[in-house]
Amino acid sequence: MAILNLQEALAVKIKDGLKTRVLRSPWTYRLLRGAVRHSHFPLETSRQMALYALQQTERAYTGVAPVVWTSAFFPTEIPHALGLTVFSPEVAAALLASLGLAEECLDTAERFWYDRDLCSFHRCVLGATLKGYFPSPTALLATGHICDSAPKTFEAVGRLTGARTFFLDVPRERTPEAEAYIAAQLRDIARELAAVCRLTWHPERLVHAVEASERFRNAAVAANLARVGDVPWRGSDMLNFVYLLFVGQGDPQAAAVYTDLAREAARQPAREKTRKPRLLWLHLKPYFDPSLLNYLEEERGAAIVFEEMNYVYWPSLAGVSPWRGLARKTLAHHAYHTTTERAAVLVSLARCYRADGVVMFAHQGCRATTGALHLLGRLVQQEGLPFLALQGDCIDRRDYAPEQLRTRLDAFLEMLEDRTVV
Amino acid sequence: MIPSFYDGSSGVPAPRKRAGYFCTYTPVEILAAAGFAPLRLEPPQAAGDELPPYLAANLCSFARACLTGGVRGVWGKLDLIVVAGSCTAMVHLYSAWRATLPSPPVYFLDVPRRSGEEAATFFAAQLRRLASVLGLPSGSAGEVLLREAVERYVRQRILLRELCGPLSCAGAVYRRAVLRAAERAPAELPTAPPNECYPPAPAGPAIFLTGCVVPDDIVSLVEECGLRVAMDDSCAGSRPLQVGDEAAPSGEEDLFFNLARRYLNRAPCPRMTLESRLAYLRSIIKSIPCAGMIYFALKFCDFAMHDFPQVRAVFEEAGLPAIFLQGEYGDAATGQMRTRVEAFAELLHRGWRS
Repeated sequence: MAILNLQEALAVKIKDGLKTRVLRSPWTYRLLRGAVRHSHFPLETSRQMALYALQQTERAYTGVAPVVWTSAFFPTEIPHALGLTVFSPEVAAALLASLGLAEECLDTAERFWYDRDLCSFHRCVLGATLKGYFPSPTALLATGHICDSAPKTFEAVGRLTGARTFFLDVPRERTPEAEAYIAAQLRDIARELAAVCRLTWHPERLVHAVEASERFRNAAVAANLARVGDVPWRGSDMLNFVYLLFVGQGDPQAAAVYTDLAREAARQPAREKTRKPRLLWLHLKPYFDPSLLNYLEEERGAAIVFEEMNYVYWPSLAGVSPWRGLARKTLAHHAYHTTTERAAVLVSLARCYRADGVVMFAHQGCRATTGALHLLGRLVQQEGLPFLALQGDCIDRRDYAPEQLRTRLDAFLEMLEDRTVV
Repeated sequence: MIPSFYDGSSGVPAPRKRAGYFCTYTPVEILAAAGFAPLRLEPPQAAGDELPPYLAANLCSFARACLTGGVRGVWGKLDLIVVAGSCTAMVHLYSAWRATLPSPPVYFLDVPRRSGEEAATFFAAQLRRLASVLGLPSGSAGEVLLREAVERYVRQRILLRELCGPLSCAGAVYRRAVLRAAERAPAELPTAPPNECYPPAPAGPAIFLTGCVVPDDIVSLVEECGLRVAMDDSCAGSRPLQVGDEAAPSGEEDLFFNLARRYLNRAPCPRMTLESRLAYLRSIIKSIPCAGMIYFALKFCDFAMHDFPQVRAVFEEAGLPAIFLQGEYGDAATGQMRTRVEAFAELLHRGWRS
């Protein structure tokens, strides 16, 4: 029995060793770039984004520049101003889930006392860190807004890896004091991050990063505006652009990718009028199983006309100091304040994109987006928009019940179709 | 079971208005200075079993119980509610409360999750705004009222720390009752009766109880299993007493800044940075002799669930065994929980006797 366990343990070690070695080999990226260039992508910009992601991943694993991990919604203009490689472990967790590697990470985290009620993105990040799958961070940049779990995860990763953790505390209310508080923290973080990475902080490079971020924003606004004219893109594909939103703001290359997306959107023919009903999609999707959204968009012929995650919630950064602009941007997220405010934004998006209904993929561990789900649903319904909450998990497939989700989707679509006929 | 030295109002005139608050990061001194009677709103545990309107089942059951308590009107007439934005659950509670209950007015108080000068400056600005909204006079008149309230609470907390601290011979359930009585009567200073007047703590091994909101049932259960709660490091226990009263304002320091700094530097709950939490625990376990640690996390409290693995490591470094308990606010002390605590108590008893 003991021999068998040793063999099993060895097998796991070898497998793990191979995985991390593959990720660190330049040949892997050469091979993958070739594959990306010759594969079919629903959008040409998706191909460019995949190439950009490969380049960033290669930089992260091969140690071209110091790697900083950033949590979702952290202003990445700061690490980009320092020329650092930005790595989003939450996006990487989604990738692990899509590759079928998340479960072993979740299992590892749970064996280290991370409770199963915690967000599976973060459990997966902790498990992957414990298993050594992710590139070693020089520093960790976490923001406390939207998500209570991310800063805590980053602090734990900091203790595991020895990397310095920087925590951005974001107040809830948009006041001049809140802006000043965030701006002061960002200034301190930038200065100390430069010191940790043994770099010199050049203020003019932040100006350039903010300019790139502004180009990114303008392109995102233009792409979203083009989609009002019914661009026939699948919501499940558009949700992948969350990657750029999380890591690319402040990077001229990412801004260029988004600018191409806006151009590609402008060239698209209009969606066929027969595709109904039209849905506004909230939160993310189950990354381990694409069939749910395929079923919705292909088999049932429904159209996800817009995704909440792609909404440009922040104001222009032009005309204010970079620190003040970044502080305003950080404070601007519509889902960080009251449920009433979030509902108002969703209703305006639904009207703008002429959605027939609103569907939320209610990620089990996300207290921020699902905690007041029933209130959100009621506020949206009061405005005449049917609302469906699909309870599920983006990363953890262990309690996944696809047939039940499809049944609920079917019932919702049937109800929407009846309304449309009337 | 309220201690007799708090019975009766002792002729203290009842304040005109009552301001309820949930989170102990709410500086009660400001409410009191503005003429409100601060009332900490701890919902009855039974309220935790219900699913109130608008809040999801996968949200902290304490926040849900708070809303249920409000809907049921368990706190009587309140003139104001202050909701501190301590965590996502409390922010949802704020939204749901406003949507459910038309009165009283609800004030949202932003509370930083870190300490330091910048955080204290920001929090001080929030406190000034709160004071202004509550009608505390500006200038020296307001300052006199606030200083008087601050001094009163400093005196009270220092005495309560002696009465309810780790060296107290009283049981933890009783100590909690003393704390609650004190919250209701801040104008009266408790006098320390001899230790033998208290219902004594169990004679078994001492434990360090920590977590987020630890319900009374869990404290009772731990004591019923023969364990002495040396430190009740919970929002419902002695954590709110550790507000750095030794650093109370002196000389020309701004009162609001001083309050802000002391509240942000108080014994941290799991919402604050891990660094501050672990530093606090490391410093305190040296001074409190205990045989083990019990960690209680409310289900779906992200802060507590992330906190436990790190806190456990600190106690294990100190050679102290730890157990993790998780439950709902309304139904925490289940039979299964009792079995687990009994097993842990057995383990500690064995080590304690040897």
